[in-house]
Amino acid sequence: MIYLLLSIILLCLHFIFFTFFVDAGTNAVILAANILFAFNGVKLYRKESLNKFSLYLFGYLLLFVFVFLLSKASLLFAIFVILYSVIFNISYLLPYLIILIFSVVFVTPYWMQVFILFSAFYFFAGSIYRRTYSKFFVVLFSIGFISILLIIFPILYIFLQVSPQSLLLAFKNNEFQQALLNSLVTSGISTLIILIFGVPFAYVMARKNFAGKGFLDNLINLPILIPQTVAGIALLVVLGPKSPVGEFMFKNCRLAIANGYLGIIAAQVFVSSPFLIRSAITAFEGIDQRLEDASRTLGASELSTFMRISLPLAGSGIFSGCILALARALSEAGSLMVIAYHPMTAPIYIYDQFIQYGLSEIQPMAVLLVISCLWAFIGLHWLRHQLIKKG
Amino acid sequence: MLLKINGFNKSWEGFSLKDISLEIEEGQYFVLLGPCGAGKTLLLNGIAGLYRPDSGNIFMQGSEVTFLPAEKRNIGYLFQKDAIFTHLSVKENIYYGLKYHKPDRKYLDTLFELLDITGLLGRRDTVNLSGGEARKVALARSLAVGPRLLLLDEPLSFLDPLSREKVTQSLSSLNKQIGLSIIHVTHDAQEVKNIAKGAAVLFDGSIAQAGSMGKVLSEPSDFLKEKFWGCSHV
Repeated sequence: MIYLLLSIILLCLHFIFFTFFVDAGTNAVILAANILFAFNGVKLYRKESLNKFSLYLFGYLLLFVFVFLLSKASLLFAIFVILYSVIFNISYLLPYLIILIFSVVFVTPYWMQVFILFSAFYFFAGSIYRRTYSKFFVVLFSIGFISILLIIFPILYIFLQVSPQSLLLAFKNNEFQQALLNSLVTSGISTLIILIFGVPFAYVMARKNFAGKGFLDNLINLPILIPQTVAGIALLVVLGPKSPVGEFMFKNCRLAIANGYLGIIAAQVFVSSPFLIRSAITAFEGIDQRLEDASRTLGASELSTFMRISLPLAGSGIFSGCILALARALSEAGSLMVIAYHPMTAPIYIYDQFIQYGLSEIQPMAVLLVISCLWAFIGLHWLRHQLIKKG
Repeated sequence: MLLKINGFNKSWEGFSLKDISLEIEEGQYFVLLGPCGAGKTLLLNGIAGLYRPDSGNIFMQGSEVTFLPAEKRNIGYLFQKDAIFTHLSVKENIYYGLKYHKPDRKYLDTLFELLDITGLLGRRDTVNLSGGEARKVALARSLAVGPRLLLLDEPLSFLDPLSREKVTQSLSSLNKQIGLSIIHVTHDAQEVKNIAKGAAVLFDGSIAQAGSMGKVLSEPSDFLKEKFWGCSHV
């Protein structure tokens, strides 16, 4: 009975007042939303405390003031009221609705990104608080989240701007496919090369003290420190067509290092080796020296001990290092521009297209590159977990 | 003479072993006593061959082993924290050294029976081993290769009383039944006073007293009375 009465009152209200502000269609939608709101309100009033009911009304008032009066978005207002009425009882979803409303009303151009990021923040921070009850860690996380924000926001933004159709179109592009293939093959080979030469070196660095170790330790980081273009120039000077090495290779093997696959691999090895070597050193350092000593006293030589104890125990850490190095090699562009613009790897191809056709053309490809890299790493991480599980 | 150490010196990270000389008979249960930080473990590592001494010589069964690497000395070593290979199963741990040494089947059977270890051989991972079990696995691993000498670094530490009792018994019967020569390192003279024959006391990097176990316990030198025994151990 009361529902009917409410409906009639609302109907009259809408016919009298709202006709001045909005057109008939919108008015009808708002009416529907209001009726839903009112019905839910009655239910709340009967079942729940007065406080909760007042809160319910207050929320509506806020929506009305901010969305309807200030933003003048009447349809949006109706949608929010409907969502609000439905979600009010599901308390864990309510904060997400508030974030949604906030992001749509206040940061309209970026509302989707802001909504996703803030929801994610609320989700993580809430989870941390519920598990630890430590406000300190929530504050720390909030500060730290800003750094995450700086990383995620641009990528999220470009992702949400690209349509699936343009992605498909970009993927069917032969040149892009070839560039992607070049990237994957060269970075795979580069990682393998670093693995073969870097792991023994890392083992020495982790286990033994010797004169000049500190110097070598800093030298490992050199590729991270120097600008990529400088790295490319240095490599070009050493390996380019005019250099003795380049000349020798071209005369005897008919191979050009610069502007060839060898050049790409050389540059990738140069820039990504610190990541694998560092990880491997850390992994070896994490192994208790006693285990290796025990192996020695049982009759295993240093080589056997390395193969049977150190390498298997450090395997997981070294694999992580491989993933990092592969990622770095895949994403390398700066030094490749100098030493091997052709054959193009995916980052170079995207840069090339950007120079030729501009920003909007390359967005789908950029997204596609991010997606393919992500898949590669998700796959590798999965593989790593499987290996750990197996032992 | 199984082991003869002559004027052994080693400096390592600000600590040094000074002019150590020791003699250990074949089949002897020898205990090396000393407070924490006296250099006991460093000396054991030296005997095991995990580093080269700065000066001095080590002889085993008449031949010099001073510059022989650890894997060629055939000395068993039970580390203080067991040093179980976590990536291998219990069986793989115990059989680890059999790739390099081939003791006869009968020796292994006797050993496993003595250590009461057959029940553990089926365990896949080593993570769930109790303290006593891990110690037994480590002991079996170091003995499976049939070493000439067994070094024990605080073999009874971090064990519950029952496990201590069991490990002590195993060590005693290993010494008596198989005739295994043992160097047992500890800071607690009480735990070995019934099984040890020879003893030496290490204090601040040098041997402060050496002789038979009974003599070291009953007639400690004045210096040690004051510095070491006086505090807590006897």
